[in-house]
Parts: sequence; C-alpha cells; structure tokens
Amino acid sequence: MTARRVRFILGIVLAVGFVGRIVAARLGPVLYPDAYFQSLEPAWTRVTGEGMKTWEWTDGLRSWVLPGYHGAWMALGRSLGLRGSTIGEMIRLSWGLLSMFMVWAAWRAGASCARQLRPRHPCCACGHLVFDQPAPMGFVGDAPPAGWQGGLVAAFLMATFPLLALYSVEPLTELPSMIVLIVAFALVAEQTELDPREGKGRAVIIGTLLSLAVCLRIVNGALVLLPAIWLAARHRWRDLAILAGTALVPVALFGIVDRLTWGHFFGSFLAFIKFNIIQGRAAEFGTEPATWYLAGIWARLPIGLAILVLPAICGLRATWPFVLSAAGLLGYISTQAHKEERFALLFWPFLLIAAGTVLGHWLFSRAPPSNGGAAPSRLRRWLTRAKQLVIVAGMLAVVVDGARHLRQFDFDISHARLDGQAWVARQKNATGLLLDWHFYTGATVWFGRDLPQVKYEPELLSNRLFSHVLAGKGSSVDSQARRAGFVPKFDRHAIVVLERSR
Amino acid sequence: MSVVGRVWARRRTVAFALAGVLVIAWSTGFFLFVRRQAVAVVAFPTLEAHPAGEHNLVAYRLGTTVRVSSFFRDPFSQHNPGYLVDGRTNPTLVEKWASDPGDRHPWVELLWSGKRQVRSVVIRHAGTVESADFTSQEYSLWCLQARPVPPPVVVTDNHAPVAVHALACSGARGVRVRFVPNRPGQIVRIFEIEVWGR
Repeated sequence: MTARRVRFILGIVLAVGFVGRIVAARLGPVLYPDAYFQSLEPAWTRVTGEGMKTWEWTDGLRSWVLPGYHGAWMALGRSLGLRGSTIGEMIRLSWGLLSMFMVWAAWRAGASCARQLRPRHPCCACGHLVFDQPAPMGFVGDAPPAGWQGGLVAAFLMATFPLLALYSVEPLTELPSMIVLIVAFALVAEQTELDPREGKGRAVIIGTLLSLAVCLRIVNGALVLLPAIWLAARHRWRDLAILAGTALVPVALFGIVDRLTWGHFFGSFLAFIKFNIIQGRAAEFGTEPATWYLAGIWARLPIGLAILVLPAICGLRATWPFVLSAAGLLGYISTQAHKEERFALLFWPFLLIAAGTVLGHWLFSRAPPSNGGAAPSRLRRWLTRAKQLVIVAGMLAVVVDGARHLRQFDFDISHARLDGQAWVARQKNATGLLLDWHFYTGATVWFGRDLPQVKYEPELLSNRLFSHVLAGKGSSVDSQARRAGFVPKFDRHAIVVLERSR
Repeated sequence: MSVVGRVWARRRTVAFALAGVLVIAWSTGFFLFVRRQAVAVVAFPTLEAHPAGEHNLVAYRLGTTVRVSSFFRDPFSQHNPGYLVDGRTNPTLVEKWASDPGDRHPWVELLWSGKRQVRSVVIRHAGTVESADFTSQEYSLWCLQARPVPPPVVVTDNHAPVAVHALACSGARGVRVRFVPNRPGQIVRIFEIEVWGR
C-alpha cells in the first residue's frame, strides 16, 4: 500500500467519523442533564445572570475550569448576537470535532502497537528477542509508516463506533478527560519506540496531558499508572522525571482557579474527594451491583464484544497497556457503589485501539510463501481472502451491533425538547416558559432569552406571564395546559409546545 | 499544483494559523466572560403601548425590563425577577422575586422605554402572602435618569405588607429600589412592584 492510498483511506475514516458526530450532535438524544447543568449552566449564569444553581455549585464541588472554557465561547457568541440554542449546538459540535483527536490517536497508537507485532528473532548477543527489521514510524517517501494496518483499523473503529459518536458531543467532564488521556496513551506508545535519548518534548506533552486528564476527572487518576509502568518497563527514567515535573502545571492551574473562584487552593478537589470518597455520599444517588458495568457493556455490544475482546487478548504482547487500562478501569469503577454508564465510557477507546491493532495486523497480512519461496498457492490465497472477508465482516458487525443497541441510556433527553425551547425563544410574543421537567431540557442555554423559564406548577398556568408550556405530548401537563386555554404550536417526537391563546 | 495540494504542502502553517485564530477568539471570549457582572435581566417584549392616562408603568405587557442584583435560583423553587411585574393579585409562594442568600446588597431596577412622569411606587412585600417577619423594613427608592434629579425616598422602618411610597419625578426611564436585608444572610422577598405615573 502506498503512502498516498493510506492517507486517502485515513482521510475518509476521519470524514466518516466527523459526519457521524454531526449526526449525533443534531439528531441524537441529549445524554445526562449533568452535561448541561454542571458544565454549561454555571457559565451561562455568569454570562447572562439567568440560570439555575445545582447543589454542587452551592457546595463548591466542581472546578470552574470547564465552565470557564465554555463561558468564553458563550460570552463571545452572545456579543456576536448568537442565540443560546445556536451557541449550545456549536458547543456540542465543537466537542464532536475535538473528539476526532481520539481517531487520530487511535491511528497513531494502533500503528505503534502493530509495529510491536512484527516478527522477532532471538538475539544471541543480548539474550532477548529483537525485531527482524527496523520499522519507520512516519511516512517516508511513498511508504506509509510500519504498522499502518493496525492504525487504520483502530482509527476506523474509533471513528465509527456509534456509542462513542453519541457521547462525543456531550460536554461532560468524562469527554475532555478521555480525549486527552487517549492522545497521551498514543504518544506514550510511540515514545516507547524511540531511542531513550530522544522524545524530550513529547514527554513534556505527555506529562501535561496525563495530568490534565486527571484534573478534569479525578477518578481517571488510577489510569496514569499504566503509562508510568510502560515507560518504566522500557527504562525511560528521564521521561518519567519530565512527566512528573510537567504534570504539576495543570495541577497548579486547577489549584489557582479554585483559589480564585472558591477561595481555597484545590477547594473543589478537596470537596469532591470528601463527598465521594471519604463520606461515600455518591451512593445517595443510587447503588448498583458490582457486575453492573459488565452487564451494561454486554448489553451495548452482545455480538461485537467477542469480536473486539478476542483479538485484543491475542495481541496482548503489543496491546497490554490498553487491555490492562480497560480492565483496570472496569475493575476499579465496579467497586464503587454508585454507577453510571458514562463512568465506563473510557473502556471503549482502550478496547477499540487494542482490537483494531490486531484486526488490522491480521487483515493485511499477506499469505505466507510456499516452501522454497515460491508464490503462495491458490488455496492459500483463497484462504487469505476468506480470512480478510471474515475480519471485515467482523468489523462491520461491531459497528452495526453497536448501532442496534443504542437505547436504554441512564438519562436521555429527546433533542426535540431542546428544539422546543429554541422555538419558544424565537417567538416575538413569548413572555415566559413553563417546563414540565426542567432538568430534562437544554437548561437555560437553549432558551437563551432574558425571560422567565421555570418549572411547571399547575397554579402557574393562570399567571399570564407564562405564554408557553413545554411538555410531553399526551402528558398530564399537556392536558392541564390545554384545559387552561393553551393550544399546541410545536409538535415533534412526542414533545409539544403550547401557547396561551386567550 | 492544485489548491488542495498547495494547502496540504503548507499544512503545518495552516494548522498553526487556525489554532492561532481559535486561541485569539477564545481569549477574547474569556476576557468578556471574566468581566461579566452576574446581573440578571428579564426583558419583556412590548405587547401593548403605554395608555394615555395614569397607569402602572412597569406592567410586563408594556415591554418592561427588570434588572436585579441576584435571584434565588434553587432548581426546585426559582423566584424569578419577572414575577415582580406579573400583575398577579393572588400569587402563590413561588411567584415572588427573592434575592440570593449570598447577596448582601440586593437591588431591583424596573426600566421602561421613553421618558415618563412618576408619581408613586407600590411594593407588595412578603407579608402580603407569607410571614410578616419577611417584609423588608429598610430600603430606598430612586428615579433613574430623571431631570432634575430628585432625592431618593429612604424607608427605614417599614412594616406594611403593601407599602405605597410617593416618588415624584419627571423624565424618568426607570426606578431603582435598594434593599437592606432585615438580618445578615436573610433574603429579600417581594411579590410585586407597581410604578404609577404617566
């Protein structure tokens, strides 16, 4: 395969992945009210003065870094005259775009791991196995990097796995943490291939990214151990020292932000640890059995899971950091009483990279020559073709199986609810909006107008301040509003917006 | 070489330029974000013109804008500033403006379009619906942008649940009420404010 063709296929994979994320951003459901009330609402409240304050923001349990990031785009969007819903949709789409870094990381990590799968022979002088040939890490002339096979398949799986596409547009803390962690793992994979005297700059980036991933999501702290072990196994002590030093930069940044916003260095970090770990109060939000994540993963991919797990384990020689990370994450979060699917989301990129590496290695491996070096026999060639067909079918099965089981989320909100809010915001005669279930909306951002948007109470129907009601079609709120003189004006996917008629 | 080819050849430059634009845009937004003061604004659309005679200048249908220093924004009981001008005669406990518990100097501004002559201000305090203890006792009222500038009306010991204050000014564009919480940490609760004039 020429470098040009590999680049072309990689470009197509990236394009397909991005289109999938656009579809997810626009048509997919909204997952988790937390994505809106923890990340966007505080920022929107600061920008406009309108919004709700959830208990985490009263108790100082969250860092202002992520709302600060979103708030900057919101303030800019508002000053350019953009509507709240437009800003919200752009933020979702921007996360989808940023998540494409994971596809790039899968390409690099898959190629790096696939290079570890190439043939080795015993080295008499040094006493261990060495590779037969050197493997170029980048494009050289018309030759693609060695291991491109694993890279392409890993990138394909990462780009097309439907669950990841759906989650990739949600402004949850899990998402940025996952993106930077996967990119860091890809860089570590390549780092281990370099001469120990090389890669100082890369080590700086790795340290910053790993630390950032943990600062964004403290629970991911345990996963930083794997890259450290990986580097230590290759005796890259200097890299480890650089990594430890640069890791302090994001930590200091988060600490200073906490000092400026909550009044104490690491105030939100300490409050989070106290609430979740010392007091164990996350369990107040529900507990699940230890096997809950396993059952959930199985339910998401009943056929495809075996297609991913088997090759990942077969290639353990190269994929062990990814397989161990996936298993370690699952094991750790299963010990926690409170469980949500988003906590286990990181399991999938690790597994997809590990499986893609080996599937790609198998897919593009040529039929071995016959004895004596002659061209492989026709039978061998056919067997190779059949093997390739089975692998491609398996890859497609993973994508189709994943798409067929995109239901029964912990919390999902029909996008029509957000569209309903945005529709009311566009009405010139709107003076106030009542929401049947205010946590299951796009928060105040999607309404985006300087008008009251409050939780529905039957008594409020007689308050003429409220010109519109958003409710589930056929719900008790819908019928109560109709009886009070409201008429439906917006009807989409079981969501109805009613307008006061008299 | 095609345009795509030329762009590809300079992909590093293009990537750095794009990243630079994004960083500048984000930094501008961040500057605006940090500078923002969390003042809540409710701006009603104009559904009716002001009548000719004396009337409540801040009825929401006249396109009133309400600005408040803060409001009680608990997800389960939001006391939106819009309730200040909803014209409800029998409001529920929810239908009031309440300040944030952390707001030590709560204030309200009621603004209208054009210059108007103000005669009086009616404030329906907490005592109209809930405990009289919550009725604000100390506050002051100003006309905004009036010429000549009239002195503020300073109230120091109010106990009336419905307080009527003479506030005469002409050419005003709004009214501002500054409250002093009855006790430190106590929130201010107001059900309705009417500004009468023409």
